[in-house]
Amino acid sequence: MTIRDIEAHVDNVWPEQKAVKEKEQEEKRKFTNFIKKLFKHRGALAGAVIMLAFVLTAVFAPWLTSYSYDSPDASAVLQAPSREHIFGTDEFGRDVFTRIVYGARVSLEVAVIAVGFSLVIGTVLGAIAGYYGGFADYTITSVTDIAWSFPTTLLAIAFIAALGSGLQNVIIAIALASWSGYCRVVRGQFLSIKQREFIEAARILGMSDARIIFKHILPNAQAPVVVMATLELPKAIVIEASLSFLGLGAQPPQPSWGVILDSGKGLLDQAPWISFFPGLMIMIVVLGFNLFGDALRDVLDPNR
Amino acid sequence: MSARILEVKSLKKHFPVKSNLLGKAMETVKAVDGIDLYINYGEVLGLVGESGCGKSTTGRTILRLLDPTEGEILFEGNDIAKYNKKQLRTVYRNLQLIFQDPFASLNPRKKVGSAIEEVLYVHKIRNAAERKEKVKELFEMVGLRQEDMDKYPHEFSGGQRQRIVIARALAVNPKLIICDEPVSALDVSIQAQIVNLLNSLKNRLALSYLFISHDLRIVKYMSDRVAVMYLGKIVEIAPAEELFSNPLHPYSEALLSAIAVLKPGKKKKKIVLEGEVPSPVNPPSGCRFRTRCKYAMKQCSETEPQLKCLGGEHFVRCYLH
Repeated sequence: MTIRDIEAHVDNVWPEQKAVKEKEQEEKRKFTNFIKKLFKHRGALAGAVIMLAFVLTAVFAPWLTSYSYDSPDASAVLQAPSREHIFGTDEFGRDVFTRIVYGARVSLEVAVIAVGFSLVIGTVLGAIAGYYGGFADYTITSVTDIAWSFPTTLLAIAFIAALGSGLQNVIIAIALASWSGYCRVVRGQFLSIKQREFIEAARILGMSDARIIFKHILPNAQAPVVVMATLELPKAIVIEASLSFLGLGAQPPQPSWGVILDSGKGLLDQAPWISFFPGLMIMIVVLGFNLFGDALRDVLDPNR
Repeated sequence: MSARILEVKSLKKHFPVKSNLLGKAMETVKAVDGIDLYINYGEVLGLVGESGCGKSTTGRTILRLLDPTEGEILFEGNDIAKYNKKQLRTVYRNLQLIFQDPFASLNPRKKVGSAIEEVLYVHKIRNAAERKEKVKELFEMVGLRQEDMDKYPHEFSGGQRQRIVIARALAVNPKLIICDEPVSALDVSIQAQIVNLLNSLKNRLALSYLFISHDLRIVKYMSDRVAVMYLGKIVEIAPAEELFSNPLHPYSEALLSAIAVLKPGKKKKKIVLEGEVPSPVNPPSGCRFRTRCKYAMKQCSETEPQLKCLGGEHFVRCYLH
């Protein structure tokens, strides 16, 4: 009998060892259960379908419509929804459906890039604060608390005021206005993971701080950050639409949902469809993301 | 070169517990309060004592996972107590640690093979292909299969994980390994395997160990010399045989009497200590053990006895001897 046989035998005989094994198998089961539960959850399914439709619309925009989003058509001004123009046309004769489809691109692009940037900023600052502690932690936490105390939209408007309008600046403004949440989450994760023995082991094995932070702590800290990022996406979409609506973001004739909403504002009594459809889209997409986020929280809640 | 791989001189580690308005520590837990010990090349020094006496803190401070409050840590003649991070990295090629809990000391998101390979990479030991070979070699050395290299820690049992932790520590070819309760998280049956593995590795690779444990039988089996710790101080240090057959300090005597006797018919008197361990924040004046010692005299409360040599390598901190 080899040592391993003995160990395998012992695993079967000794209840303590068995309990440990079972615990681990349960961890594995947990993940498959999680996916199963998520699929059974009606909200999650609806949310996932909406999110998928939104992303596919943005990616395949040119294939979904035969009209151009920015060339005016004098023969089709302010037409009500019909078979040719299912969402009607605006005051320049442009197809509203086409503009909304291309607007999805703008929304998705801005949201993903802005959330990506804020995630990186927040993660790096949170990692430094959590790992090194002391003065770095004090400084970063103070700044984070200040940033956290402002409403995100207000802060984004302040940054736009400083940077000037335009989509690129909207991305920067949203990123700078919304990193504080990630910073707090990542700092908390680092504080707890830093205490674990395998980090001490890494230090004794001669690994550098950068290696410990990026290769050992970060991979174990990513889960809550990813969940948070999915919940930040709809917020970014709304902020982009708000800023564009206010004329601070995308500039006409760029087809952002906020811009379309704004362009129909003065024509609400003659052509309500111009504002109605982009508003509806914003609502549906945000609802989809939030349904999915709520479902995620429900499923991950161990008390249910 | 002297025969000593490690020499610790009046090592202290105090933790602040209360501080005043100016942030100055008012009260400190004196976890380790002036420890002297040495380990020769190829020797195993056991460190025993009850929970909370400062054994683990001693190990961690020697490794500089905790910064010492006072004292010298001479590793191969160099005082590493004041070394910076970069200097310590070179020390860690010769000085390693085996953790108590093999469930917590492995990164759950790293395959065990690549975790060990990473150590070789960090220390720039050999090139990529040779590193793979070396990992295989290490796996074999600790009794694991090569196929196990591509598994994650959660796929192993406790004993197997401790083997991985040992392989990882051996990756840098250390000379001294600090074993911090290496088997106390394991089942009794597996404890024996790991202890035997440590023992055979020691002979094969000419290692030295500082073997920290509260399990007296294992310490007796593993150690050449044994140090008994009580409330942050070493009260007795002697060759294992001598200590176990003839403990001189009243605390060692009581501690060793707690070992179960396996011979039928032979009855041993168990010495049961009265009272609780005093707080390490305010240790008793004079001898720290006097509050629970049945031989306590007047002078025990006045001045603290020094570690006295009783010939050979037997030292004891008591006025009785």
